[in-house]
Amino acid sequence: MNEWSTDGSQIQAAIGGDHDALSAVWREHRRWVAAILIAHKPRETDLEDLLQVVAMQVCRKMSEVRDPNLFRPWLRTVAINAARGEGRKVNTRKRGMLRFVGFEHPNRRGVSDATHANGCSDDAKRVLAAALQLPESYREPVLMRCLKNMSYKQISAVLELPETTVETRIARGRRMLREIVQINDQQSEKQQQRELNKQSSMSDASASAISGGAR
Amino acid sequence: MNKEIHQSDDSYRPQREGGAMKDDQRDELISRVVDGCAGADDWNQFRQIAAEDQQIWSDLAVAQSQYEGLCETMHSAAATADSVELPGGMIRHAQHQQRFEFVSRWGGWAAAAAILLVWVTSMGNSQTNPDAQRQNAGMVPIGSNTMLQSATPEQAMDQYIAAGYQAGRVVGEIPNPILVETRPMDDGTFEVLYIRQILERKILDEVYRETNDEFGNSIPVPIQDAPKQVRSF
Repeated sequence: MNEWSTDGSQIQAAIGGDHDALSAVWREHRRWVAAILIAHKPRETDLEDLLQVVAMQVCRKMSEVRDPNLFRPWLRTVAINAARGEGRKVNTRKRGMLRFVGFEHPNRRGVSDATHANGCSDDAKRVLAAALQLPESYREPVLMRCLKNMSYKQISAVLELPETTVETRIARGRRMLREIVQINDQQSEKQQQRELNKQSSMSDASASAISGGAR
Repeated sequence: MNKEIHQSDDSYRPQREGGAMKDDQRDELISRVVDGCAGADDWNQFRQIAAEDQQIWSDLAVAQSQYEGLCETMHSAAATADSVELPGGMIRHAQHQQRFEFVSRWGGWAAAAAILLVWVTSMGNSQTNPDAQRQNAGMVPIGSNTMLQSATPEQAMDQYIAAGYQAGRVVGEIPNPILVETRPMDDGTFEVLYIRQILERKILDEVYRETNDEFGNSIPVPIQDAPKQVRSF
């Protein structure tokens, strides 16, 4: 897939209210929308819920797009706003959450339900966690490139950047990713070592206390 | 190091002996190989660099492995995305969006004109009708003889707000309702779904904060010292 299968005329038809064209346009673009959402959403937010929000916005606001060439950057902005809006809600909920006892918010789901990477290997989750630590301008192209066959040209159309810039950002982003994973691994090793030392010092202390008591 | 990465975006330059340009070139070569789009020239350059810098092979292996890990998670995300279709009822709505925009643009003025007309009419009535004067003296104008059973939904709602306000239960109504959806009807009219928000208050003996235990389960914890202000939900 070197080019989009939906061309400008189809996007124009979707803007004009052709629901078949709108469905086709959405189907072609929803995967990279998911990548953008992952790049910006809070960890505990459900990807599917956010995709539904974006889908609804596409239906409601599509007619406001004036130029078919600007559709993809517009869709990216819609996705980013949806993810950030959810981030603000999550922060508000975390700051002070009062509930009536026994009252369960209907939209609340467990954190484990929210991560789309549940079925993935531990290594994949670890790399994704590191990728989400990348600066924003590197995070998006690196993740989009991992969608099957999304070309530099397509990524550049979404990000409104020259292809060469996209290629450079992906290359640098991958280097940063290697460094972040390395640092994270070193930190977790140190943490494990500290816990081991703590456990051994505690067992030494209890052993000496027992021997002291026996004396 | 991590901190350094986060400090800047485009200004980030990896610190290596060969300088930023050489590092960028090295990174791009690795990236092209990972993406499977390296040409013969790229491979020649790669071999030249590898002759002096054996580390590049290790970096390539790590980059390839990480790329596959990310592809795995993105494949899962793509599967989720594939299951999300456009909301059916709203596609038809999109067809009428431009028409609706026209209506809403002028509808606001029409609504304002209608409110003004009702206000002027009721002013005229209140000057001649003593019952109407009593009605206008209250916070919510409802018929004084209207029983709840025979009231219209609007009258019942107004009655609830007025009674709730007097009892201290209702603080007020949020002025702007939230628009949920508009659906064009077959007869050319529009069905509008919206949420009216009533702000209520309650006095409670104790309040609880929701938190998670070590297993991630949600548990309520009583708040001992009353906070100055806590916003809920």
